Amino acid sequence: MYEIMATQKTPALIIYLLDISASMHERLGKKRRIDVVTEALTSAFRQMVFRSTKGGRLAARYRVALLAYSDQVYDIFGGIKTIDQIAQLGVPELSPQRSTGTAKAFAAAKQILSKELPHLDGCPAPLVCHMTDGEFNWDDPEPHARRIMGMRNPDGNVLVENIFITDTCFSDSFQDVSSWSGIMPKSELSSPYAAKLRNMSSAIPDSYREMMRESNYNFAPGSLMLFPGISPELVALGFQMSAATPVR
Amino acid sequence: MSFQPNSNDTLNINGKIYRIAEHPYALGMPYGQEGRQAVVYKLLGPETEEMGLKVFKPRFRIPGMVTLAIQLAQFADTPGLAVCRRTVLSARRHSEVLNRFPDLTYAVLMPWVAGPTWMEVMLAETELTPDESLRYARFLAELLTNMEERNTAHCDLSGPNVIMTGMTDPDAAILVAMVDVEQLYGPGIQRPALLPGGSPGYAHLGAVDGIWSPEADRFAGAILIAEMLGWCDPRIRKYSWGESYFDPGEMQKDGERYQLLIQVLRERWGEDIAGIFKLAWESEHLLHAPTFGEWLIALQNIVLLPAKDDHQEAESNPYGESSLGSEPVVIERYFIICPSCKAKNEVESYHDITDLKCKSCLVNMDPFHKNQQETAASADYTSYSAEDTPSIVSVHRTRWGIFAAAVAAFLMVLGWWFFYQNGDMEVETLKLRLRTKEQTIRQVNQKMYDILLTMDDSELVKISEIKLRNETEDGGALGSFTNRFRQNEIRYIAYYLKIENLAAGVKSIRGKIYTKYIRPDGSVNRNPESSPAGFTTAEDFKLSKEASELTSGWGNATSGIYEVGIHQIEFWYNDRLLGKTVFTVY
Repeated sequence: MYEIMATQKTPALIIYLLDISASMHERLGKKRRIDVVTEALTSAFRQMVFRSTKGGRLAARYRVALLAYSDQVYDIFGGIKTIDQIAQLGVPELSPQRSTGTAKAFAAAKQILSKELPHLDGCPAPLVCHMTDGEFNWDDPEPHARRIMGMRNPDGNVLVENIFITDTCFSDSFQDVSSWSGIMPKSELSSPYAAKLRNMSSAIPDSYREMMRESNYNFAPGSLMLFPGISPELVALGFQMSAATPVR
Repeated sequence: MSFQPNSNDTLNINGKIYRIAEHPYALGMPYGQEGRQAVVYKLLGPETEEMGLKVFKPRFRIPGMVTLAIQLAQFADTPGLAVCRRTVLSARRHSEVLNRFPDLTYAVLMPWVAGPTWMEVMLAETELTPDESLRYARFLAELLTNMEERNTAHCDLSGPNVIMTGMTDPDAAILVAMVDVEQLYGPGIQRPALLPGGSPGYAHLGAVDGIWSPEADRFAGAILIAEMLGWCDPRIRKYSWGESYFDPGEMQKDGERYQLLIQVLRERWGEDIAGIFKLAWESEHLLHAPTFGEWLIALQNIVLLPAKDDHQEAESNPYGESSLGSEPVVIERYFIICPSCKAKNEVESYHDITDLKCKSCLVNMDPFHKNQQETAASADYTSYSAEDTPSIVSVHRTRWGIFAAAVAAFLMVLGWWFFYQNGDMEVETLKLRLRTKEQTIRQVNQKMYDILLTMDDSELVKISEIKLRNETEDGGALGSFTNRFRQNEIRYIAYYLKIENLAAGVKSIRGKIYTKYIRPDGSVNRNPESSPAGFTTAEDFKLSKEASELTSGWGNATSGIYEVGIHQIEFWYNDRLLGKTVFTVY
């Protein structure tokens, strides 16, 4: 499972759900949260471009949808774009809006997946990468997320990853990110919303762990795709994980 | 600070200022390409110098890179191996740049090799003329032969690691170059701590976990040469899988792409080339695959002739002078024998033959007579001259043929009269033949039985599969079957041996399988009190049926007893090595 490599013929599909509620104006370290996320996203796109560049050509190994949400869902790229198209467009500037309609974002992602999955038989399992910094308003997103996690193609179930930008909620201290083994199903979490996000997070596949090991990140078997965004480095790590589909 | 350059950022290396080039297809991004072990950035130096800076991912930053660079230098003047001329950034010599960018430790500065990769050519479905196909394939075969003769191999050949330098400069002397040479096998070069697994679409089934040996390139090189030779044919371009011609899941199988490639190789380049590729494809072990010397001889024997499309010219002067850009025609001709009058009718190929009438008797010939092909390169046609025509040779052959057919017919009639005059004799004859056949089979079986009984048991035991897995003390799996283990995750490494009894049904075999577990430093792991002399363990087994499975292992409830490096387990029976397996701890 999760062994199919991302190639031009079998591209990987990644759907980003980015919270652009008003609280994203707040600081994370020296920068606004929204700016940290934009930088991390740029870095992830750059990695995808590098992984898709062979000789002088940019092979379309990744297909990406970028949905930003507050009280509405905004399809930033206007549909799914290939990485060579995104390379021409560049990463858009995101502006914080108002409230946090997380359920709507997951519902939109599910709609995209329902349409795409029948055509993704030989491709890697898709991944939904959700970034948020606070609790949702209105409907509970967990049922939507769990429905997404139940969708699958021959490579495996759709993966759901969550990056939670927060100052607290995790009891682990992070002196050295490279020695952090990740959040396990039974890890202690001080925030109820973090615990909810944990229920909405897939386990990190072995093939993804192997890709991350090359950059000296050592996630334990069974650790989850849930990342505490308590520093820009950890936010970047979460986005790096989203691009960790095996490539040749 | 981690190395995340922007385009046009500068680096001072050995007093030279290099600028990070901009990506040609990604707005504002630096020109980088990421492989399994590193990201390679394109640098622009003074006076239009173009260099590559290979920045290794943390796991692959190995001090041994410095020594490797010295060892690779011996190949730097080999056409196609310019990347072997390299500088490794080390703390002793490049402190200024490394203080600024510690991520560049053990990064490699080397010449930038311009040109599309072979993978790129395939993805873009770039057309090649037959002349170009042959030239690229020959150059690659020459390069690989050169390396083979020096007991050297790339060990990770694939489409992305072959640069078609001849496509950016048609007058270039070097048409094809190799990159990603960090796992090169050669005299005096140390085995890498981490070997890449075989590349999808190019990996021999017996070497998917990577191989480091002088014959490591034989299969992947055969695929590349065949791809290049086939690429001038639109069918190959149309049915190519994508980043390689073959779907990674169909390697060494008798699939449609394989059949098509063999057909194209045969049609365009001849039986020799097709045969060599077939041998490589069907090889059970890399040592059984043809050498590049054999490829090169076969490729050098190909003669360029006028295009087949020009029928008129071909008929009057089938072996005329070649010209640049002409389509090579192999020394091979196709004939269909008329089932009615036995005349030989020459055709262009055996495909799409419908409504073909015999030139002699005008009978409509069955297209399935394509099996009666003859080649001009064999038998009587090697001394064929331009003045001769097929009809003259056919006349001579036909006269003798008619005589032989007449004699055969006479003998058949005689035989029929002798044996089939009496109807009872026919039935008795058939019965006699059947009894004789049965008796022969019984005799052969008995002989086999006797032989098996007398053979030593060690010749009748075969290990057909060895698998390894990390497990808990009570046998619970801690991962899938693999030959690579992370040191701090290992508890018990268990082996699973599938043993076959080649004399199943004749006799049972029993005895002890002796294991020899060899550590990375070459010493044999032994318990002084319980291990048999010269071995690690001995396990009893009994084989009454065709196959059985043996399993055992070593380890600890906590991690750490396995050292980092290459480990080997050998399996012996009656002083005969039955099999071995190698695994890596990292």
